[in-house]
Amino acid sequence: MDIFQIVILGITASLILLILRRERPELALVLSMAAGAAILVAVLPGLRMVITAFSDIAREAGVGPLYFGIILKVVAIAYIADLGASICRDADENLIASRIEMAGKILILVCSIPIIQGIVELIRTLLA
Amino acid sequence: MPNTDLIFKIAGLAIIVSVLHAVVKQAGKEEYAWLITLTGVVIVLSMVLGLVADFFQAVKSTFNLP
Repeated sequence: MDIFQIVILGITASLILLILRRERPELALVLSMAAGAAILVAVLPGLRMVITAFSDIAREAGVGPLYFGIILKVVAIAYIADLGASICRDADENLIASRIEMAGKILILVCSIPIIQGIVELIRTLLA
Repeated sequence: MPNTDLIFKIAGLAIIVSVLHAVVKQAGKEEYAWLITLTGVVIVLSMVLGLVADFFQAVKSTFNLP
């Protein structure tokens, strides 16, 4: 099972970090970054299966590929921004972390503009 | 299958850097001790950046991003 390996990896990394954080805090930050990235890389193939299943469902339900692509992009931005913000918060840089989260929110807003335009267009055609 | 060997590699490098730092500091060369720390951080960061780049590439291909 994959989850056992991931849990063992997390526990091992935490144990090493416990010792390392006192001696070398800068290397501890890099190690926690590596552990987080390794865990996420390990679960991405599962996510890929989920996404293909969802895109099949969306195609059968008649949802436009444009809208589904936007949803995927938003989820990807959220994941990446969360990873970066967590690493920065781990280094006690709360300001940078909140700026990264803010940038993620703005980029998500930029990505979702076509959906908002679609809603406005739909309302206009309904009212006309 | 997460790659655990990178974690242990970083831990071992951190131990080596710590020991070298302590030895050089005992010898009274404070500036070299600082350089050793910097070199260790750069080496470890270059190892981890490859993994993070792999992760970003995997996210890109998973979410069908350009």
